[in-house]
Amino acid sequence: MDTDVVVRAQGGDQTAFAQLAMQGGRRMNALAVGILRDRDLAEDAVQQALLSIWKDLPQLRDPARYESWSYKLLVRACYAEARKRKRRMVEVFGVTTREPVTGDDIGGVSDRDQLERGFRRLSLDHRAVVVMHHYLDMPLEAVAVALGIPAGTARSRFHRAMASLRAALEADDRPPSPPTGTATNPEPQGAE
Amino acid sequence: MNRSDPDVRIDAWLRRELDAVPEPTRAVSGALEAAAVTPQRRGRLSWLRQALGLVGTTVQHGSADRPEVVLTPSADGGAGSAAFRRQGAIATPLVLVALIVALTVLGAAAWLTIGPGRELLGGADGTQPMRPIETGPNRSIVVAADDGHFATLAAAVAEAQPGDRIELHPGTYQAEVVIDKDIEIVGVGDRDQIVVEQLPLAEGEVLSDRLRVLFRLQDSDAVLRGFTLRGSENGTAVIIDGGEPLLDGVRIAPEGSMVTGGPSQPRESIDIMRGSPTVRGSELTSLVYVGDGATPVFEAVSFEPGCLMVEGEGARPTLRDTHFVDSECPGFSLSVADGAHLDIAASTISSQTANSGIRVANEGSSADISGTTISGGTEGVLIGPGATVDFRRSNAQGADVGIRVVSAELTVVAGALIDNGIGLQVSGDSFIEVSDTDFCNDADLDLQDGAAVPIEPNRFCADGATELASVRGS
Repeated sequence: MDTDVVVRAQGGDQTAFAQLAMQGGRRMNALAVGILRDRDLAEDAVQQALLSIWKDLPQLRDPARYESWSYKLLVRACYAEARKRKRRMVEVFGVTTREPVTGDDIGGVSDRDQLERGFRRLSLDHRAVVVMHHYLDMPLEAVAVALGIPAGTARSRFHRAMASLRAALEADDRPPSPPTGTATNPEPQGAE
Repeated sequence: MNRSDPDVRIDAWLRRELDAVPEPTRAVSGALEAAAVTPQRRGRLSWLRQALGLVGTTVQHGSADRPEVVLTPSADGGAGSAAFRRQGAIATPLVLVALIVALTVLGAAAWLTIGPGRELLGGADGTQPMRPIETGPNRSIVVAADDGHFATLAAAVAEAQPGDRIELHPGTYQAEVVIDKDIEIVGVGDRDQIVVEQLPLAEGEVLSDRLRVLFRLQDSDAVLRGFTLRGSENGTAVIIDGGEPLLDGVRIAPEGSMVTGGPSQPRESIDIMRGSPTVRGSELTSLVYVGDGATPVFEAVSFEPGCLMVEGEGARPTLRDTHFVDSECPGFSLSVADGAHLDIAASTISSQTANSGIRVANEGSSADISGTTISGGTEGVLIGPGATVDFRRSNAQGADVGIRVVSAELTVVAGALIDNGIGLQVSGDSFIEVSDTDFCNDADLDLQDGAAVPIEPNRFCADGATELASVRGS
């Protein structure tokens, strides 16, 4: 990120701010989608974060830290969005919006479903750490600073999240278990 | 695809998912429109910078041995400062004089604003006792506005030796302290009138710059008793890292709304990273996090609208006579994950929101629930893949689903009352034992994906056959 642009935006230059928003927008959106698992909510969070960035930018002391600082505000916006839309999230999390699967992608379908489920089981905290470290390639120490948590907590959250995702994959790799033997699963009446 | 390396598969999945995320055109255009009519927040010294012609400039500080100030004009010139640029020297005398005057004025204003009974930033005047402290072991150190040994909590903590007792008298104290010794901090008087809160923001500091911690207990058996801890945003009231501290009769009440884990939200009442603390007779109004290596005990604690998150194989909290009301945490009142174990008894969990009462999330996680009533919410207990739960002599009532089981390793329900929209919803390869339980639901069983449940011997409020017929799809 060009610090000159940041400095100009700090001084109230809206063109510079627009440049910042457009340069960093996609990565911010990816982070928000990773945390919220919903594209509409993510865009709402990005919009709120960008507005917060604009308002608080003059108080950013080190322009070189702009990117990390912007992620911090974005994650905060994601949490606010998740809270506001808590009830809605319950509904939309059950719906998956996906691109059509291509032939080359068939091998990944099983992983995708398992990981999607596994990822949704993670808390927002854990998702944020995983996306920032794994996707945005931020060192865990930088993630800790951005999230305002101790570095040890960031490390433990990352390792726990990864362990959970690995467990989701391993569960899928396991052969199916035999029946438990006491089944009294009635046929749904009226079903076709 | 390398099926043998889960991390590669996770990485590939994540990149594929997030690479497909489009540009947030709606968000960007909306933000730009809003920014066009929204003023920026300026620091409290902006008037000084304006007066000095430094508006729109950035100031970079050099190393200690080579003081450096670089003043770069903004794009629009910054009123009267176009040629103002210096390197390798300290700021001009004019700047220094103006800063000294401004700081003096601000200091006087802060004193008048904050007033007695509150700690001042930097509080050099509070570091020495205002009157002699008794000698010998197990001393009592009084913190009070007027007649105490100290006016600041931080100074008293610095003075205290193991075995000492710090008495907090009514007042509001601003402090962020680390305690690595076995001392006692006790409120003397009405708990609500004895408040410890976070330090105010420093000049130029924004809320999200750092995590704010009132008490960091480091391998300490300290006792915190009988006062209120009040946080603001981006704060954790207490971090416990080792030791066996006791929190007794405290109220931890972050201001504003609460949400879990938000980096700039009032996020945690207590973060228990390690150790075996006891929390007793206290009110916690936001998230408590129990990490790997922590074995806390909660007795007679109210979580309203707080919640508890437990993670890691070594995390094993015990809850007795503990009550959760209307958790604001998204998704749960109490979450157990990543191999953690919860032991909860004689407690209640009630929620009018879309939460799970207790969520036992995944492989290796487990919970022993006894004598506990869970009411309201989306589901009373959610038991995830590979988890184990023993639900005994307890009630699940008033939820959409009483107990939802998803490929759980083992679920034992015994001597329970299940009274909900759906009583027991089971999917996947779950193993369940149900005995001596009363089912009084709109639909007692919802079995999905070939799930199996041995249903006898139990009792049904309505006719058993009718209840069995009311499974999903009927």
